[in-house]
Amino acid sequence: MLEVTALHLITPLFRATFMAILIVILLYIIKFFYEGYKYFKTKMLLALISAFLLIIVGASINLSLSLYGHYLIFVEELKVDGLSYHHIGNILYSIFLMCGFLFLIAFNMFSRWIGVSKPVSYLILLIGGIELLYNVEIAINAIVLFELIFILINVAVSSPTHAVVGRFMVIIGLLLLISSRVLMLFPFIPVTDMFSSMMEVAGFSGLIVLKQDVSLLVRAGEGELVEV
Amino acid sequence: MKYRPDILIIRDILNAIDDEGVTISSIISRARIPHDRLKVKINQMIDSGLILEFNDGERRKYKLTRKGWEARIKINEMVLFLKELGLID
Repeated sequence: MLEVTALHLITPLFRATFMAILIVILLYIIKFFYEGYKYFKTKMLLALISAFLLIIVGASINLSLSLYGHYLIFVEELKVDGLSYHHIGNILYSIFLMCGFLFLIAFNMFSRWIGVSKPVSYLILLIGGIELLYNVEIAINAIVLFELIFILINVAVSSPTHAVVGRFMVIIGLLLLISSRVLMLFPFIPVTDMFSSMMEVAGFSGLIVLKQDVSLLVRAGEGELVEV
Repeated sequence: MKYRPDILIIRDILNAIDDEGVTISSIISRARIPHDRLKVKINQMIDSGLILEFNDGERRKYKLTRKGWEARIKINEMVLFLKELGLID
């Protein structure tokens, strides 16, 4: 039987706070893609917006359920029910995160291989589809972990550009997301839950640094920046 | 021939056009895109106000509008972003 400690009881509110920050970060990245989509209606940008929207939906569900869990714990004094709602929120977030990353990986396969080997990319998509059927928390986390490692390898082997700082931060961010997932492999421990919430936000923050880095580089190249 | 995503084709076309205006053959050689495909893209860009078509003597040229410059910066940012994420080559 799980012993509910004081630390367990504050995890829902802690998680909800970090999910709110994560939503702001993801909205910033989506805004970046949407500004591009306004000019060029490419399927690639639409796919990217959809992938990040999936993660936002997951984070919003996690935020709502964790807040509701906090309400149940401290207002209704239903500790186990509150923690259960919070936990369901975590699982749903993981499922949406898994789908979002799968979308990114599938998109990556098509953009690289579509002219070379369609059957191979279809096969990988099929395997990805089967992955979705494994609806068990540990399995979901393991799948997200696998997806993150795949994305990290992809970033590491891609040819470098001048956005050195951005790349560094993305790699650090992915390592943090991987660590967060490793912690999530051990649910019901408040410390791992809290650390994974923080790491999730820190991990996605790497995207903001990359966005700023590429903006600086491109605008400097176009002569848009002036010395002050 | 290696597959080039749409976003890279648009980026190459916008980068091939400068302030003074360029002919269609210059864009073809700079952006490495067949004439028929380029024509479709150019027309789309003219319709959305990114490119201006004008006559320079007997030659027809194309140059970027203000909106086109903004779009060029935006697309270069996005391509760099996607490259760093390992999503495109």
